[in-house]
Amino acid sequence: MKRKRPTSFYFKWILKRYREHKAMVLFMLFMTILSTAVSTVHPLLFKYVIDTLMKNLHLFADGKLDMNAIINERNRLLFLIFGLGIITWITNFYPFMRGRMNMNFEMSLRKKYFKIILEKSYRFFLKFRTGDIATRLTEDLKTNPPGISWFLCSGIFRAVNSTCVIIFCLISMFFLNWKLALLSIIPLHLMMLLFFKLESKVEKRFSLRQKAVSETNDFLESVYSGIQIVKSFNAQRFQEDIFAESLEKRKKVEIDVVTIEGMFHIYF
Amino acid sequence: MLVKTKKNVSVFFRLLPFFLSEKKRLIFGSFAAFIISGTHLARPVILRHIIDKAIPASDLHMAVMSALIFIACLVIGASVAYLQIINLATMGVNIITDIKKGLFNHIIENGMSFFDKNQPGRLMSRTESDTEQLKIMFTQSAMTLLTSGLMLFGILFIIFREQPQLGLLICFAMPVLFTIFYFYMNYIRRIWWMVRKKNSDLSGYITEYVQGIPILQLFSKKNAAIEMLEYYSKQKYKYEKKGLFIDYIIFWSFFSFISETVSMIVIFVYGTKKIFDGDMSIGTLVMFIELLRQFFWPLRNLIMVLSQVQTSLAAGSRLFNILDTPSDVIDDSKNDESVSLREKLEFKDISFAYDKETVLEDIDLTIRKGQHIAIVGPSGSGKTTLINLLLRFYDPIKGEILVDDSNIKRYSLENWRKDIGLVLQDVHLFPGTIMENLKAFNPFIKDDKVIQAAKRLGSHETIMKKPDGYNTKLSEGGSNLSMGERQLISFTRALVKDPDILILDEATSSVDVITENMLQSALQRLMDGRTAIIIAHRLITIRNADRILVFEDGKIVEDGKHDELVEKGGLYSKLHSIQHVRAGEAL
Repeated sequence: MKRKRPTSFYFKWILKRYREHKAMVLFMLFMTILSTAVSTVHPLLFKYVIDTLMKNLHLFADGKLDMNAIINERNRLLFLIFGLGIITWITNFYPFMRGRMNMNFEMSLRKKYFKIILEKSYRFFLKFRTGDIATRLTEDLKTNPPGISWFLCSGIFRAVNSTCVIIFCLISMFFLNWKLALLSIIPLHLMMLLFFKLESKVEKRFSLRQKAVSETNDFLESVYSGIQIVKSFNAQRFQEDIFAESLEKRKKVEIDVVTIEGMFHIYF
Repeated sequence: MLVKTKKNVSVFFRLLPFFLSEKKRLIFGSFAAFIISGTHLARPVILRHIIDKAIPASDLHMAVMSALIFIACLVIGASVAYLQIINLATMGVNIITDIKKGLFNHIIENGMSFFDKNQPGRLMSRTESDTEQLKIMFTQSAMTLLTSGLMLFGILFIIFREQPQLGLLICFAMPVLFTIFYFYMNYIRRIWWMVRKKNSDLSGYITEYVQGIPILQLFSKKNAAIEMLEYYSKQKYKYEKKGLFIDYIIFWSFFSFISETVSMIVIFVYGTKKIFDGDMSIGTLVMFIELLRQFFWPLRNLIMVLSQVQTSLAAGSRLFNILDTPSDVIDDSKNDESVSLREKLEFKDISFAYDKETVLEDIDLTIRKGQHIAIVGPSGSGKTTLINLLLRFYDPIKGEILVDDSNIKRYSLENWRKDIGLVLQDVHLFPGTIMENLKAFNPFIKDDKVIQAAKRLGSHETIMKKPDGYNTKLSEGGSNLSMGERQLISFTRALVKDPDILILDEATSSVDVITENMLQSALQRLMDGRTAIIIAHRLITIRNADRILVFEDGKIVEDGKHDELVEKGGLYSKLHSIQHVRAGEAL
């Protein structure tokens, strides 16, 4: 039976990887907080613009403000919008840095594990198929579509980003109107509940899909490279049946993944 | 360019029937796209209502009702979007499963020359990656096209209705934005294509080197392997970094600046004057800001989808290239008669060429029932081609093969191959159990028949020593068995088939001399009472053959028994003395 490692093992493993890229990790943390802060300012500025407009409209209607003052006020607001736009533009470089760090992790992890595999004895290769090992060193480590390298940087920093967004937003919402802020927290609980309920299911379904894809690849490789035997034993029809059956099973696995992935996609 | 477009259009029309086979899901998908776009577009309109009507009138009831409608729109939109995701995924998986099945069936029914031209890796990529690429078109692309189109149309409709001048401005801006997006997408697609290529080089390298790790360890080449890995990794990194830089630093930063900041500035400049002139409400300004922010995304999605569709159609075109390749061995016999060799097998004036290279020329050969014929000769002399023709992996370009005076083409391929057993040097075992492999996955063969055959051949004990006996699962290529055991399994597999004609192509070449001796008795039992054609390099294994044929440059140059041929002093004698000297040196 497969031994499940404690969560602390994974934390230690991640920290070890971070220690190897300390400066970059700290810089990413700073950028995460900065970009979150900037994105939180957006709705505040929007509110400020609309409120100012409304106030000025009333003053204009009451004749307390002339057109020149209004244009000056408008230009001041435009300047604010433009300034925030420029800062946002700069913080948009942040995803690039995240992507670059994903790639750095991908390269170093691949090298590290390839070195380890190079030292393995033949027993290891009896247990693990070439396709499996190659999948671990390529697909599982990949940056895109998400693999371990993606998780190490983008995955974790996105989580940090989301947490910062929640905290910053809550602070500004409570600052604006505490009753409305309390109301808007309600879905947060549902989100947490949904997340914890679905977490293990997601993991299970994704690994089932990965297994199904690996099996399809193993099967195809075996049939195509052994086509002489398949043909000489008149086994085409049987192989077609096996392939059809495995695809039918895979159908269910694929839809199961989409069902749960879709839920995350829509709700979060 | 024009040819490419025409090709894409023709591929699209060939794919259309697959869409139509999922009519109900397609109708639901279209209906859902309307609801999703509608609920999306309703939200800014409701916001305007709250700002312009409910708040100035301090009407709490109206505000609450509007908020509830807003929430309802959110909930309905999200629920339908969720159903849409499942609907599209099911549709895509259904269609792609059918395509994969059809493609796989077509591939394995094709002749061997097709497999000569297409390596397993390439065929795997066609069956798996290209079909998955096509799935994107059947799912995301199709519906994004519809939803984004509807959204754009909806946004323009609302803006035109409220402020025709602004609508006109957007209509002028649209072609410019569309062109910028289009060129950008085409450019970035090329970079990401390079990333995929470099990634596939890297994967290919890893697969190849993982298979060869024992050799690398033996020759102390581990450092060289690591250096090569780094080289391939860096190649991929270079393009991936370039792609990311252009995507995030140059394009998306600019895009978000235009969609978030510039659009807000334009609306604000345009709107404030109108507001103070009394031509526009603040709610309408908020609605416009929201609509303009939404406007860029469907536009971006549309271009992305067009780019995705192009990639999918290219994958589709590669699939149709395979599906349109007819098999070069035509099985058009309506004769359901089973074949049984009664007297003789004849190769009459047979010639064969791979493309333009002649490998067999004017072969005339008669093999009597029960004879054991050995074929020897240098590599490339046409030995294996002869048995490939006998198995009808290829058809000769001249001459005919007769079984008891009937052309083998008279029989169906299935019935003809039923009568032939093939054992190759490279034992090919499939993923599954030993039992499944012995049956060659034929579910109609009973376990008893397999066990009896194994007992007759002497492999039963070897199999029973395995952890789960006949139900032992085989590792990749049977790597949890020794070479001798693997070959024993392949002998048993041939015996289970119980054929009249047996072909052994270097069947014991890949084992050491001691294992070969052990296998010889099993081989003898396998050949008992059958017509056998044995291709061998080690002449010692065929000295007892009834007849030995020596092939050179696609012709039979010598024919006789071992002693006769040694005496004759020809090519066979030369080969014999070389091997004899080597064996002596080894001793």
